[in-house]
Amino acid sequence: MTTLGIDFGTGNSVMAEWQGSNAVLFNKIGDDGAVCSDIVVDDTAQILSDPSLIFDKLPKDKKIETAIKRRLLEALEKGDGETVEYLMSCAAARLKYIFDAFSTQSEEKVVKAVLTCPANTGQAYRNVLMEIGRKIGLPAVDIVDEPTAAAVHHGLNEIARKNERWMVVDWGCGTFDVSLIQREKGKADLRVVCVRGDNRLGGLDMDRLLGINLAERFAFPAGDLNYYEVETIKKALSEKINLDVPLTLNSGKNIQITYTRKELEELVKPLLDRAQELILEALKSVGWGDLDCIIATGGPILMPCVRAMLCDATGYDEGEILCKDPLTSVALGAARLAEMKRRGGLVVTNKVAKSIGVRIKEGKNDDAYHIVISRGEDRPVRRDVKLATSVDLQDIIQIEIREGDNMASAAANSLLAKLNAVVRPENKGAVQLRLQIALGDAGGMEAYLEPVGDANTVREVQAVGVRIEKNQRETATGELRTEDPLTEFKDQVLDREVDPDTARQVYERLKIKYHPDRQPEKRDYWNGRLAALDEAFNRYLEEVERRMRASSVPDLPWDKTAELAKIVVDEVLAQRFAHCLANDIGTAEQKKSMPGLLKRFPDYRRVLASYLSAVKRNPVLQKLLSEDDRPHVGLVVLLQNLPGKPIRERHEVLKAAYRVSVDKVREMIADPKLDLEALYQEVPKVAEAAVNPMTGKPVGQSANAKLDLKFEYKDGDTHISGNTFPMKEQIKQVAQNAGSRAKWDGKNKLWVIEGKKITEKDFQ
Amino acid sequence: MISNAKEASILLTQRLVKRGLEVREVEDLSRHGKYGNVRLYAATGEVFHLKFTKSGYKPKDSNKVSSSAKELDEKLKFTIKVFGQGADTLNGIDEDLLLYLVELMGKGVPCYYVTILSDETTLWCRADSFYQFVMRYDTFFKFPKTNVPVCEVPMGWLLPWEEPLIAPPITF
Repeated sequence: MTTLGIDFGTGNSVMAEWQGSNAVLFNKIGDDGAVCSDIVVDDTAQILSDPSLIFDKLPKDKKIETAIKRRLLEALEKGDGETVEYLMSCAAARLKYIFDAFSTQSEEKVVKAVLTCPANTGQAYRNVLMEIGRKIGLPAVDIVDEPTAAAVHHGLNEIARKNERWMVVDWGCGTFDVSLIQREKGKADLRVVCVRGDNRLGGLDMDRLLGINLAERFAFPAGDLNYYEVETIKKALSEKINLDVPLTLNSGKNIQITYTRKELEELVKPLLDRAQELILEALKSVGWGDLDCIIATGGPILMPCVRAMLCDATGYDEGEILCKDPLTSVALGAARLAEMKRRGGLVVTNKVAKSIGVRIKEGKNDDAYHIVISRGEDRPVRRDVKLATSVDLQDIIQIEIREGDNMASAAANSLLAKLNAVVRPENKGAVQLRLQIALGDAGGMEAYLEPVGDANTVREVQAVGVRIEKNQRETATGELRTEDPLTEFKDQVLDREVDPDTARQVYERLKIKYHPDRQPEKRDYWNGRLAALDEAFNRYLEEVERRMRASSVPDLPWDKTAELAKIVVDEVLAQRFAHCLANDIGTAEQKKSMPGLLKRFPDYRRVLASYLSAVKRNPVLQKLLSEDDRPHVGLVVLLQNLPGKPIRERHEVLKAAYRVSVDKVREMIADPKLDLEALYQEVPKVAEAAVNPMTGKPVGQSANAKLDLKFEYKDGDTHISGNTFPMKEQIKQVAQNAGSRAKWDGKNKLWVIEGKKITEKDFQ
Repeated sequence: MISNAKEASILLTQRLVKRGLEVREVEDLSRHGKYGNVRLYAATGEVFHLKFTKSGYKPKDSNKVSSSAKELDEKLKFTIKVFGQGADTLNGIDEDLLLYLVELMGKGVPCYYVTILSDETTLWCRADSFYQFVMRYDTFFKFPKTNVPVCEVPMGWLLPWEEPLIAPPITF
């Protein structure tokens, strides 16, 4: 049984294994264990993972994919999915080559693996590494920051004898990182307190500068240069002050070059300055002056000028900087960490490198970004956020989890995962979900989605690009009424401080949802709960009334007439106007403009009347509705909102409302003693006789009137014919009440109730 | 192209299944003389009342409307103008069928009205929203030969089934 640590670098990849009490480099392949990360690909896009091919003379049908890690990081940042996919397969091929080589030469079973990543990379790259690890067959993969792994190799694995402050600088071929790590006395746990880095600052950039300079100085095209040779020159200048060597170009031409270390140091000075700036910035951000240990790792550390820069930035002597094993310390530390993690007990607290958030809709902006986990927070971390539907009858909530800190546009941040929740269609905002995002100690991200309130509002969760916790794929089924109306009312109304009309809609929805008929054996219990709901709703209305006067007018350009004329009035704004008008909020000028603005909302009469229903009486709203060109609309809404009326009875009253004369309607609504209950009783009495709206002639029985039924009795059975369809449910109910069953006789088109005599009176 | 209620109900069933619903029963109401009307019952309790119609109903020009029907004509055209969002047609369901759905909702059953046109355009809304709209604007249409009024709403007021849904707002 063994554990592995793998450092996938831009230039080289290295693997180490834990053997008994030490991490040992796997050096059976590559240059003493360092395997070139570049990959040869042929013109059919087939990947040839043998690294020795890179240094052979390549035929024309093959090319080398270089700097795979650096390009992968860039592609993730750009959100270029196709390139990410391609480079992932290249990276996987390289790591698989190393892992396969190890597997064929070792009989030990690998039980844990740690892959490393730059400290300053976000979750997207960590997810990619995790995926690569799984793809090549690594077991139980954890992702660890490269500087942290290097620190562990240099002794950060033992119990701290005092409170310690460590700085680790990891300058690789593609990236630069500085991590500040803290440990408490008597503990082995590591806490990364600050991370700074640049994923476009590496040894590769030095090679490019040197290559361009060589091309200029020795007059050959830069494209003719073999960059592996340039790297060799750079490395040689770390050992020698002057260099005079032959250089073979891609074209086959040989030239003799002379170069000095000083010239190289001057050339790369801007890169050193950028690195130094990052180190100083990190130290300044945490206010650390003294450090207990400085570790430096990565290829460029071999260059004297880089070590000098470190001394300059920290004020320490070169001898005080630990820079042993610069090319392998990350992999060796990762193997040690893998073993420590396998045994358990070690806590590594990292920093979140990039914020993680969700794409949301805010007003008309459907590309707004809401941060859930902020950059710089300690990792592991778990945060949750409540989400709700944004339009009526929305049945799918698409959640995009993104990474980045661009607040102007969610789409500009990298897409990490998509979660689609299929939910029960309700009024907007009625369905709420709690999204939890967790960044784990192992480097992975998990998302967890659960309904707030009624568990059955979520039918199914589909996930793309994220591990979801177990059972989340299950579709929620079963009894609708698993919650309590009061709890839901509190969640949806009281806690969210919604407007009175929304509160009334929620209240009515809950009355339907928790209707006692759905569970007749618990009828008394549910009647009790609904009575409590009534009481809570009434208390809420009283509270709304009390608080109304404390509100302010909407934030609009009131003094700019032209701009005000362009305002689009939606339901929410209409509600606020109604609220301000009802409660005398705003200046005289504002109040004068409000009715006109309010009327830009097509269903403004409903908004006004709903508000009036909630507050029962209000002279301003009553005046607006009574003086409206369609006062009947307001009257119907007032009657519709009156709670506790039988549906068919209310239906007749509502229909009668339109048969009341306009003048009478205006008078009724404007009544200072407006009483909605009395209004409900009065409307049918003052309504004129019903007429066919097409012919203007009086109508007989309405479609649902019971007199359309014809009763006949035969052999002790009752036969009901006529216009039975609208009465279907009542016929069944009446038969059941009489202890019989109603059967439809399709041939004769009548209902038969066996053994019982049913009359018209039974329907009353 | 959809040419009858049966094809429309198959289309709706497919769409419901796609959204995670299992259709338990399909009730064709044409045997009760309610042509084009089908009810789909979901295993989770929801009822979808489907109305297949080849196209929406376009009210006559005002100068061709009889004086007795002028008032209704004005109401219908008012709703088209204010809520039609550019579409000039109406869509409807018989009053008794709608009332039945509202009654079902009163018993705790979530009910939705869905209409599918020949070109597969699918529009929908909650049954109680439909009912409240019709009552609010008194858009009852009564054909001379039938005894049951038809409740009409502007086609543009109904919600498109394929409404693209984007990420939701945060509520605190």
